[in-house]
Amino acid sequence: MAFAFPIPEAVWLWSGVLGYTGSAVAAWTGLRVRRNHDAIVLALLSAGALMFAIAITERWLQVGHGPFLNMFEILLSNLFSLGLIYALVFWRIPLVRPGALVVLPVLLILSAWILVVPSRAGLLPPSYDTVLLWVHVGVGKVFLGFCLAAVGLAGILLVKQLAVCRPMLGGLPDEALLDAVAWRMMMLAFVFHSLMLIAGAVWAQDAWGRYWDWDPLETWAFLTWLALAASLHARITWKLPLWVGWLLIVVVFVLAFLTFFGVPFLSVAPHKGMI
Amino acid sequence: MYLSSALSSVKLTVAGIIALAGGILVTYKTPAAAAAWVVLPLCLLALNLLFAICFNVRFRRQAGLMTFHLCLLTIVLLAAWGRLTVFRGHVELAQGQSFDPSTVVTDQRGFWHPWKKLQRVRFEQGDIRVQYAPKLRRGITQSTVAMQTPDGQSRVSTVGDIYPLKAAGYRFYTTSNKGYALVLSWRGADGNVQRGAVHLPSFPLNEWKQINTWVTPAGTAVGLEFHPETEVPLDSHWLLDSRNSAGSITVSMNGDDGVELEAGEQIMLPGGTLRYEGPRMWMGYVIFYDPTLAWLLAAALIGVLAMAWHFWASIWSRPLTTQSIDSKALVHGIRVSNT
Ligand code: HEM
Repeated sequence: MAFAFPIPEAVWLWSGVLGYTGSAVAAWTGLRVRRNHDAIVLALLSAGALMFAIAITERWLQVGHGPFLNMFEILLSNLFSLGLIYALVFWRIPLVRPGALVVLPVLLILSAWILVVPSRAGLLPPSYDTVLLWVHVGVGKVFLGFCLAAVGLAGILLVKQLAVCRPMLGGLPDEALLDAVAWRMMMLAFVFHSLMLIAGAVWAQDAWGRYWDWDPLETWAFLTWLALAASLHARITWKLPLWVGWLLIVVVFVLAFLTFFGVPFLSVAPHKGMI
Repeated sequence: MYLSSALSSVKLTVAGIIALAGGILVTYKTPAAAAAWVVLPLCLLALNLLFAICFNVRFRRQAGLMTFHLCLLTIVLLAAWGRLTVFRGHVELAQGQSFDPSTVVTDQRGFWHPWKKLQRVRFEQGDIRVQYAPKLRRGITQSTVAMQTPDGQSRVSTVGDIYPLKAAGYRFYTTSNKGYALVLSWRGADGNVQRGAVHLPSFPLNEWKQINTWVTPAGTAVGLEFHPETEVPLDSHWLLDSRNSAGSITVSMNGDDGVELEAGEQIMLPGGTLRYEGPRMWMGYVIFYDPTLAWLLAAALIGVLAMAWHFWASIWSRPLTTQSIDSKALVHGIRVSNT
């Protein structure tokens, strides 16, 4: 059953994008004018996430299913979930806040992307009619949220190593401390990534009669998990310089990003050929 | 001593994980590549893990970490056991037909697969229903089956899509592969009657070529073409329902125009009489057997819980050090040495 809404989905979408853009601008200008804009950053980010939540709800009522199918829906749901998770972390753990200088531009890339992909509606295959979809997608989004919070810190710490950026970022908290916070985020990410793989395997067994088959998404998700495990071990056994650890976080995030947005993008549907 | 510390070293773990990632990439890019690319690094990691579990003091002090790694080892061993006992196959079953293990096509069979178990599976195919949305997008599949319980009772249930039929440890999953079967009787010159079904190509995928050839018991090849009464609407919702199966067939020989038969009609052919009983539907199932599934899930869940507990107990619950000290003396923000 289709509903008629007074305000179209695109308006909420654009409002969300504007919210995130405002939040990014507030973070960067705060750094330039040396004023604490945390409250504005948080307020605009939360408002943006709320706008995306409304866009999702409206679309859901119109097309009759959640945002799980195509690139537009994957981007929309991640814009909401990443914004929400990062807003919560930003609010509760002040030490992650410097990372917003990197995190918000990443969200802007996703925002720009969603504005150019077609927003066609699809038909939910019968295999998606299960609570496992929610568990799998849900824990996956939490994983990516924590990974994003970590890469924000790693990214800003790496930027700080550049001689030109040092004066501007000189006031950041102690590097070892931010490093520790970043790795704690990565550990949370590890737990949720493991849960995502488990829920995905259980679902794949029900939906396609096998729990693991090395399809592109499974392969890249597993490689991301291995990269994270290798990084955690390497850090412990070699006492690596901090910057190497930050690079490892960036590598894991890039792999995760490609898995979430690159692989489904190349193969049209999230698990290619499986619908 | 040197060997055990080398084999239990975390440096070897990192090397093993990198080798495993490399092996996965090789097999991903070249599907024909040998499984050894993945199996060898896995064996190395399993050995490394076994030695670490026996000799690493961190493991002994931290139960959560130990449990997680034990679960990892268990998962690798279970997955290996699963490969040795796995069975994958497929079968087509027409309505009213009983499952016959000898008709199963094997796709993969582990060395130690307990083959005899499949003989215990007994069920009969019932009605089939498949929902379609506009543009022929397949929706819910429902396949009714009558299972025979060991005490000889019959239990009817509906399976389909994410709800497989489970019997004797096997899972039978419905597939998109289903269609019509023509039920035929053959009365030979000796008066003996044989009955069977000729399966036609998948429907509605091959709606335009519902044809097959069949060799009569007397050795004559005949062409069979089915003309289903079911219309396949492209722009509306519809239901493919085995209860509405109807349609005539054309029986042809040597490429002639053939003779059209309605259900119940018959035709004389060299060596006997062919009677067209009517159409049925068949369902294609994939069959899967792996006795390790539940154990794998348990090991994986216990492992993640143990790791979460380890992170909480030894890392997150401890306050971050706020002093600015040499970063090498910190692990996860916790001071580990005085430098
Ligand atoms: C296969 C052989 C493996 C060995 C010998 C091994 C050994 C170890 C050891 C000794 C530690 C504790 C290090 C320390 O805190 O000093 C550790 C931690 C850890 N291992 Fe493994 N491991 C193996 C495989 C894996 C794999 C495959 C994964 C996951 C994919 C994994 C995930 C972890 C995690 C998440 C930690 C905690 C890291 C931390 O506390 O920061 N391990 N491992």
